[in-house]
Amino acid sequence: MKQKAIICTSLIGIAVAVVSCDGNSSLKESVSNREPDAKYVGHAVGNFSASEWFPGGELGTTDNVTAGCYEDETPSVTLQGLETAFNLGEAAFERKYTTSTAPFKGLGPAYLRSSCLDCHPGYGHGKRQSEYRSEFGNGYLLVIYHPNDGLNSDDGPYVSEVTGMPQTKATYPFLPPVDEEQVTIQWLPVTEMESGLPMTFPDGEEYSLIYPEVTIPESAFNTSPTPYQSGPVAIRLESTIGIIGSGLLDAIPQDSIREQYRREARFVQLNPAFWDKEANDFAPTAWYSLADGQFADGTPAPAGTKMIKRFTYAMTRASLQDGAGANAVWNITNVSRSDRPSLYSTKAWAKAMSEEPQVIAAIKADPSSPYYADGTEEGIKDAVLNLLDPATNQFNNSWHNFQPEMSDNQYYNFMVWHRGLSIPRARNLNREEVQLGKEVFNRIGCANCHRPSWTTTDDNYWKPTVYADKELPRYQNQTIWPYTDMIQHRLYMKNGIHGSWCRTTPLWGRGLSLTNTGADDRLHDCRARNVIEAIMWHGYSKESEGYRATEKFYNLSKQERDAVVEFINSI
Amino acid sequence: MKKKLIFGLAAAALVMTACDKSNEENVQNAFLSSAKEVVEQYVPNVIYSTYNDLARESSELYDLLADASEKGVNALQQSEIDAICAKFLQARQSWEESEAFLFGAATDFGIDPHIDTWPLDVEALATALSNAEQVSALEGEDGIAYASAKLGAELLGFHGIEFILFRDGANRTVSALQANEDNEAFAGKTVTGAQELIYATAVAGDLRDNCFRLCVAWNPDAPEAYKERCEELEVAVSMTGSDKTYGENMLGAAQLGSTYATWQETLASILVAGCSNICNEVAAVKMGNAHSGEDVNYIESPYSKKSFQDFIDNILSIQYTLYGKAGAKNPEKNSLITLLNDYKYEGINTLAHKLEVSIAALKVCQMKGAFVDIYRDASVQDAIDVISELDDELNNAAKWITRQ
Repeated sequence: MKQKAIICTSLIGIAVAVVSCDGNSSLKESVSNREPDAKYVGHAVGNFSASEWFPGGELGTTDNVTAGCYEDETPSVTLQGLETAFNLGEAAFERKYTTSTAPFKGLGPAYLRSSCLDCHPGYGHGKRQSEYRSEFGNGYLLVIYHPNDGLNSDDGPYVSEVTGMPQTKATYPFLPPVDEEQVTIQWLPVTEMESGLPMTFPDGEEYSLIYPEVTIPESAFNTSPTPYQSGPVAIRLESTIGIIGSGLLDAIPQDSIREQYRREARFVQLNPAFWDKEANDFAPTAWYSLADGQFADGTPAPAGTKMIKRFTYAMTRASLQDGAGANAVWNITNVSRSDRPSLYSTKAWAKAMSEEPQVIAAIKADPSSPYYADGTEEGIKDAVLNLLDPATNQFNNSWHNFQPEMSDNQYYNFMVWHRGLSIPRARNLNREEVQLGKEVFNRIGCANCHRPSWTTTDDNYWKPTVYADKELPRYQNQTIWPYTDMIQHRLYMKNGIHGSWCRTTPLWGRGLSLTNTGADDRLHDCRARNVIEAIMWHGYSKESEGYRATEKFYNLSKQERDAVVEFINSI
Repeated sequence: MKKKLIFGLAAAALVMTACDKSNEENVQNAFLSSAKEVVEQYVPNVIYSTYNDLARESSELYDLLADASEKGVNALQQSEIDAICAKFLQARQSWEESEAFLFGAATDFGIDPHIDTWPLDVEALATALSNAEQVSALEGEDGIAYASAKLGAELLGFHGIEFILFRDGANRTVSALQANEDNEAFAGKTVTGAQELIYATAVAGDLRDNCFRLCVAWNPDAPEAYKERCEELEVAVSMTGSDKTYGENMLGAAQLGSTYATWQETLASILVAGCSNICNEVAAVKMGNAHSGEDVNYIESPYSKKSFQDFIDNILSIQYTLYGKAGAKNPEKNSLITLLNDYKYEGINTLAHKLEVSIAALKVCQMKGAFVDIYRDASVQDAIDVISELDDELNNAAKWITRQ
């Protein structure tokens, strides 16, 4: 209060003086004279501490906040002398994989995209699509499963006839497991919230929500059998998750995550697959068994070493070094490497291709094909059936021995890049509106799940044997501000997320999405076209764990709602 | 009395502070006014101008290829092939000279990875061109749409056309195009020069369409023909959630509705998101990845062997941005360089010097040979070093601007 008074006094003084000097001034802030935040960076301001300017800590934050800042390396990359590896890894992320042109070869035979950048446009979240095409901007994975209720439940086992991340492209002469031209995506409007919250705020401002309805007919599946032969099929969309700062999330201590579970378990029902409420500890299925490797300090980590799952919406992965990116660079492109000797495929696709006359005829006409075998139809069918089988070791089998398509060094470079992506510094924390937004965000309970900060310790990360003698960017003793509790919750949205549970998405850096990617879509399937829509989806159902906070948000004044949006866009 | 004196002193202090503040504000207002003029000079004279050149040249390239394809490879003269190659290099130069402003439409619409795809999937190209059905689909007006939608991004863009027009640093010869393709990836497949030209024509059409889109997405006054083509293709040409072009958005900085909240931020974006980004890309990635010894295949433009020219054009793109006009050899009145000089930025001379020596260092490399032949030469490291220093200076200048 005292401080505020002093500021007022100063302002009045300046106003008087300004009038006396040039007789022409206004104290009213407009966009045109908004003060740049540069001189406040690194200083405590309002209700922000100095460290909040650096969401990735000193070792993980870039000072760049212009277009392209999502591409920046962390200071750790530079301090550890890893720039060359980072740049080589960046090329592996940005460039197209090809059939056989070095340095990025080995695409197919079935694949989802030929470049990582297609799914992570501008290094960000995917963009909302109204048709499914394997091209730049489409970060969607098709989630194809048998719904538990036989109709449209979000829950149910993945179909086994196509891969968990279904492929819609194939190299010649094969057909893709799913014909993408038969996939339809409709965006439907929400006419009323299941929770009863009106779609007009009390002050009269309206909001609208849309959700996807996806269909794939049986004729789109080039598999034998098709998924429809084993029961009804439902489809959901999952867009790419943010990749910036994922190395910093990898550095959050496991014990700190356990404490967060303990705190939340007192108030909400956590996913029993992750938390045993009775034992007040992790459930057995929360642990992930790692491959053979070692920790950053040199301690061996023999195969089977356990680590808590923390990555992907469904929390299927524990270490970043065996996480979504480490696998995607193999299975999205189907580019093999020494630690991934198998194809990402299914037996049902291999069988369908071995029975496809045009495939067999094309191979028969090309004696140089690895699937040619003895040149007879039966020989070719046998080679196709077995070489496309996910159980076949591509480097050691009876039909054709391929060479690893990505070298171990390329893979290491890629992981330096992946673990080395920074978080842009926060913006506009000096603005009163942003400070108000922080206060409201905490007051209405958003921060219960979007936990603001964590502190890393020794960041004794795990790494696989294939590059165990090399180092990755490391983030020791950093206070970071990702705004996630690293725990799954349920929002019960219309046509929601497969499996119902979804890890709280980090909010850091998301306010720069439009600048970096030209799009600002949010939530797991890009259904939210702006921050307000993303927040209101948290209140679609009264069962949602975010309902109470959303209800409070709904009842805020417009000024406070706008302040929350400004805050989220600034952190 | 004493109290009054204290109050008086305080008031005087306040008034002085306020007058100082007022003077400071006047200086700042003048700076903002200058910054606005710099952007108003830059957007039409650098961005619109370069994209206009690129659109026109890529259109001419398509026309030349379409004519050649229609005429038939057996009737072609070497001079005609040379003219197509020269037009390709001209369009390529405009593209490289646009890389200091890849932010905006080129990135948001994925045009950069679409038309500058690398590496080319030569084996997939051999498969595609040995498929009569596919070649037939690439032929004629519908061939462009087929190429765009069905060919696959690995076969599109400058490098696909480059493969057809150049080999081993030289223009293709008439006799080579009149014979069957003999690249090793085509072994066992019969692909004629006529089929190669059909492919190059369709890809050039797709390239042209994307260059039109760049032009229209930035410049609200782009040629009507370009706008009509974009409408025909039903592609977005404005910013997400807005009907503004990228040019209008930048020119409308510091106003509601623009993504640039301040003029300082706008200039910093031009310097960092634009100039620094390509500077780093040239030094650390385009040159650095190959020079590291990791793999010679990291070299782009392997067929025309014009990598050094590409790098020079990239740095010239920075020069034109700093000087305020495409093709400028000296700073314009309302250029970034002039602004930095007028407002006494201490690093102005260093920045200007690093720009000059970066281009000189690349010319030294170019004199020694093609990048693929000298990529481990010490001159390459020298060039990487000075371009990295230029990058540092661009960031220093941006930092200074954000504090004004």
